[in-house]
Amino acid sequence: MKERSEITTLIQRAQNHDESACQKILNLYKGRIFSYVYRMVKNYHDAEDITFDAFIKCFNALPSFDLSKSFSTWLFTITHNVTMDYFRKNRQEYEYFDDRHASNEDLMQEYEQKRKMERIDQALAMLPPIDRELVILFHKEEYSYQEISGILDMPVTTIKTRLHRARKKLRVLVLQKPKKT
Amino acid sequence: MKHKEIERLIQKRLDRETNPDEESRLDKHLAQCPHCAGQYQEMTQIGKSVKEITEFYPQAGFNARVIAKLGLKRRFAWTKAAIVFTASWVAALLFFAYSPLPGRVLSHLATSVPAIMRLFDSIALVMSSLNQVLSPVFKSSLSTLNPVVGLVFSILFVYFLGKALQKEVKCKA
Repeated sequence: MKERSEITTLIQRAQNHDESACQKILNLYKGRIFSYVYRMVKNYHDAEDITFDAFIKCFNALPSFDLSKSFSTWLFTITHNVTMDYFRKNRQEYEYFDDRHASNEDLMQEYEQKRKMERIDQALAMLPPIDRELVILFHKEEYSYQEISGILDMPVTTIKTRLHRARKKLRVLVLQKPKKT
Repeated sequence: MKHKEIERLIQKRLDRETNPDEESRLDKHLAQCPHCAGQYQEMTQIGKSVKEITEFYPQAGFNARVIAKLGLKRRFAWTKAAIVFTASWVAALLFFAYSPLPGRVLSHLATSVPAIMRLFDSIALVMSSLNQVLSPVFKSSLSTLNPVVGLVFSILFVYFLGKALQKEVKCKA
């Protein structure tokens, strides 16, 4: 991970339309952003489109970015908003996806079909998008509750409750042994 | 201590929010309760596994697509170009001033190709006329000023050409 001062310098250069600085920012963050989006929407091409839109929005809004704030948190906020637009556009449920559309049995069947993926990745994919997002932001990206609250525009208490529930679900899903075909 | 309370403390530790008292209570209980210890292990392992999950990347050419959409183009470093140009100019000047090679080559060419000789005569005529006109202005011989004036003019030319071209580049990020 680059030092904050290096990131700040890169952002300042990108604010002045420096193409190589934009390239460096893309190289630094595209993996994290794409992985986050891909795990949210579970479709490679859609994830790429969302990541693309998020970076375009980010670079277009960069001149107004406050350098005293965290760039990655800001970028994740933009990405979250673009992903939410995708969910709205595709009429997909963000909060209650699992509760409405799939029983535990369905979830486990789907879980077994995706045996090639790592177990934890499969388990993550079984979570509702919001819970998945919380687990990734907290455990993978290591953001604090306050930062996640800023990214998702959600109260800290709600985040905590959902994350605790998500961890429990994950544990159950991970411990469930896949059936042999 | 009740298992429910321990479960709450496990979640709190995973949230990185336990205080020293809660830490010691939790550790004490985990040391004597295999059930809670197992659950704690599983929960922490999940957190670690999530941290290590594979990172995915968009297809090759993603950066180029973003850069193209933004309308950014690679900028040429005109300041650097001016420095390189100056250095080349000085090196060429020194070479022509101190190396016997250019003189030999030119004299050989001039004797073997009469047209070149005539060209040199014409240039010499123009330069001598210019010298007569401009030397009172610069209070020095034009032939002495030639390299310096040429160098300054060329640097300014390269620099301002670069700047002008740079303005043409569309940047709308």
